[in-house]
Amino acid sequence: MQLTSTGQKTVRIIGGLAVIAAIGFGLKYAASHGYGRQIMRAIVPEKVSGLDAGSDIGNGFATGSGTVAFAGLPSDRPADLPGAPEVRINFWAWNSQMGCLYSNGGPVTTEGSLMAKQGIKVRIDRQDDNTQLMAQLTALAKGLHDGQAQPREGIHFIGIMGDGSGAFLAALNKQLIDSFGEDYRAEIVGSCGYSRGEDKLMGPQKWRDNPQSMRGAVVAGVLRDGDWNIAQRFMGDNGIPNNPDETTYDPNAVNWVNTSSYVEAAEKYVANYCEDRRVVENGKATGQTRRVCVDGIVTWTPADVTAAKGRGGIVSIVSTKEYTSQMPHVIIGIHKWNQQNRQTVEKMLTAFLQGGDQVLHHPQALTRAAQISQQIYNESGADAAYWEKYYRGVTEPDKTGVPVDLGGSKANNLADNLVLFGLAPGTTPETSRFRATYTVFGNIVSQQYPDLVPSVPPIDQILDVSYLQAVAQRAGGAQTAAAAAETNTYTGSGNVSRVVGRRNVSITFETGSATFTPEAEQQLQQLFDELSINSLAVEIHGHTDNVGNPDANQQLSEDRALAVKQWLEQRSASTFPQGRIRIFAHGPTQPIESNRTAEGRAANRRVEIVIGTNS
Amino acid sequence: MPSLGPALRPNQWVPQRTYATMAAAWAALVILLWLFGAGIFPSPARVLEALRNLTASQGLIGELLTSLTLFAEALAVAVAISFTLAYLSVVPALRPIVTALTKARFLSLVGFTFVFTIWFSGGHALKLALLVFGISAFLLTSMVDVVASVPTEKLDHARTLRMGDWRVVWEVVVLGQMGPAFDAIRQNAAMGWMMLTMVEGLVRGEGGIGTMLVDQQKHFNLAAIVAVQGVFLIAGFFQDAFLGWLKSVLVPSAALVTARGKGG
Repeated sequence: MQLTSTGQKTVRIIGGLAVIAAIGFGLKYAASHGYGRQIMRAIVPEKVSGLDAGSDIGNGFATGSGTVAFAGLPSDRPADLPGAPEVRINFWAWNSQMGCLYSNGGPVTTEGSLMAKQGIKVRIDRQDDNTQLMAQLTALAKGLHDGQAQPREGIHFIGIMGDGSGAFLAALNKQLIDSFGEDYRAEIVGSCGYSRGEDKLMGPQKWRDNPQSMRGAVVAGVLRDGDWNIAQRFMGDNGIPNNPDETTYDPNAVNWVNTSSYVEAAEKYVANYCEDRRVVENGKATGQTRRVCVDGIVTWTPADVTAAKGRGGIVSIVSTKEYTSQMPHVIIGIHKWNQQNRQTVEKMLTAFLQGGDQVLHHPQALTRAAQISQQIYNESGADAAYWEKYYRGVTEPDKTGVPVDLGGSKANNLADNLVLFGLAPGTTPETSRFRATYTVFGNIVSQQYPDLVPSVPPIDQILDVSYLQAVAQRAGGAQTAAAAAETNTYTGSGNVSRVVGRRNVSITFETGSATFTPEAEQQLQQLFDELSINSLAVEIHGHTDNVGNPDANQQLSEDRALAVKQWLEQRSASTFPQGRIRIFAHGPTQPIESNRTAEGRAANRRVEIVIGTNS
Repeated sequence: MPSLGPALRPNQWVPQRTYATMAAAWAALVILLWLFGAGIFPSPARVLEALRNLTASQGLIGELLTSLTLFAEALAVAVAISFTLAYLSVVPALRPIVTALTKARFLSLVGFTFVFTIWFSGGHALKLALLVFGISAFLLTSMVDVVASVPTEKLDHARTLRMGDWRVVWEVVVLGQMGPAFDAIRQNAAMGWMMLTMVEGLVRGEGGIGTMLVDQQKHFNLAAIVAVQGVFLIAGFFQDAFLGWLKSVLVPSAALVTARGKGG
């Protein structure tokens, strides 16, 4: 049969469209038969304990009795240090580095600076892109691997947040070890400071008044980042499930709009961003779609200022002001280079931590450090006064006139480092705040996103405290150095005035006694880790069921609460100083379930943990 | 084995088989380099492993479908807008505004995303709007050139056939320039792929391979990044082939005027 040219054309078009349709339907079929995206189930994040120490946050932190003499301001002229070892560093624009920046005197080591006194030439550049940070460290490792003792490419150290270091190092070290070998892994050697208020979860006031009202909320932020961790932790403290799936909406959990940066999170709130989501309940699609809008954000300064001034209506729900130990800054370098240049690393850390002391004790040093911040960060519209103001932390009215807490950071000295990494008297590496924050948040990420972060490296592989130990040795031993670490005091009695978290924890006792069961050890360890990342006051409430004598039950609930308190205090006197934990016994007076059933009675025999501030 | 002589001299025609052999040789060279000179670059085995994992447990195919659907939608809207505007540029009064619109291709989208979010309030509409904006700016530029390059004699010829002004536009500018118009779509559709990662990173609620790529990049999973980029390449290759095929069906005459139209 002969076809006309029009006929041929029609046949070819129909044939072609049939091929396209077949490809489309083939993909669709594959997607709906095991090759599509699986719906992720919401889970309550692991609760975090043992991380912080101290309440009365509103009064600021007292530093120890050790005072530090003023070392004189550095000049702004680059120091001429012929033959001095050179160190290249990349830092985020982050106020926790105030002390480290001060020690250098400027972007390059200046005359009269603490770094120049150590005889090291350091160059600090701003870099806010994690991928770039990884690439630069990889470039240094590659140079070493290629046989250059002092590689010309790449950078020697970067600074990121400690709670996110697990996920960061999981990715980077896999790459480094696969390409070059175990010795080329990246490791943490010290800490410049802490975030103390600037990183936060912001949302409507009702979340503060009643955290349970956060269920069904939609929060914008960078998933699996430090700010997201703050929200995870708050949810963990209050038993609220998290929906890890950024494509669905679970009305019983907190849902996320994933953003590329903390700034975009604030922009999305200001622009009143909305999108359509498939509704899921208990990990199953309901078949409904719902339009959801951003209710809150996780972010940090200056984007918290953007959200407050651009739209307002949201306040700081919880921040690193309450979760004081959650977000230490950590300094990361390449293990092999550090080992081969041990003296350089120790001298650099010495200068950094002396810088921390100067900034902590001398206002003029802080002012100078803020000027250096302006030079290095080169943030448009941010002068030196801006960096200094947000380092200290301020309360300013937002667009709607509601006062909002903005900013807040702290520089670290040597003693703070020793406490953080568990090297100070009364602390141990096994119970250190750093171990708690690294482990807990590493687990939260790998538990919820096993595909992206299958696991985080064991802490011993990514932490080398020998440099800090040597610095402490030279400073007269840990005992002397630790005298000037920040300490927290706990005052007041009775209940906390502002509850940050309230939830029941499962700690099992032998029937009718305050003796722990064998399983309790693990439960207590988890509680310890969770409470280590904040310095909030802790209330332990003991409850029983109604079986037996009420007076005996009252005594039993008190004994059990006391047993938990003593266990925590014995584990770390530094994390749980006198006065941090208070116990309350309620006997059978506050049941949460009916005492008529065995399940109800089991639920009523419980320990409830409340954390909060007295400010 | 035919002689390689013509293959090394400019403007020569080589048989299809010789051409295929040369393409295979280049491909082999690239694969060898990848296998033995990769260094930091993930090995083919690791990339394949990542691809298998992305497909089996992270829903790569579903994400690909999401992206292709979005892309087809954006391309259709962009073609409708750009073609309409370009054909309207035959009217002198409208030409300045159309010319001005072509300059939009010099704009960066940084900062504009916020404005677009307010206009479209987010979600699918925002993604579509950004993609359409990106593709249209470039496609319109090419199409204005296509319209402007109509030879005067063709217009005169149509007028001598007593056609009305708009009939001339239809016959000569629209139908007569179908070949170049297809080429313009083919070249500028690639712009959409470049932007896909950006818009799917901005609106992640629907997923898509752009979202996948951004997530993998955040966690430095190089093998997975290369695997997803490979999917981009394959999808782009099929899109090119599809548009080429469509052109050959609808405008068969276009292939006759080039030296290489017969393949090779």
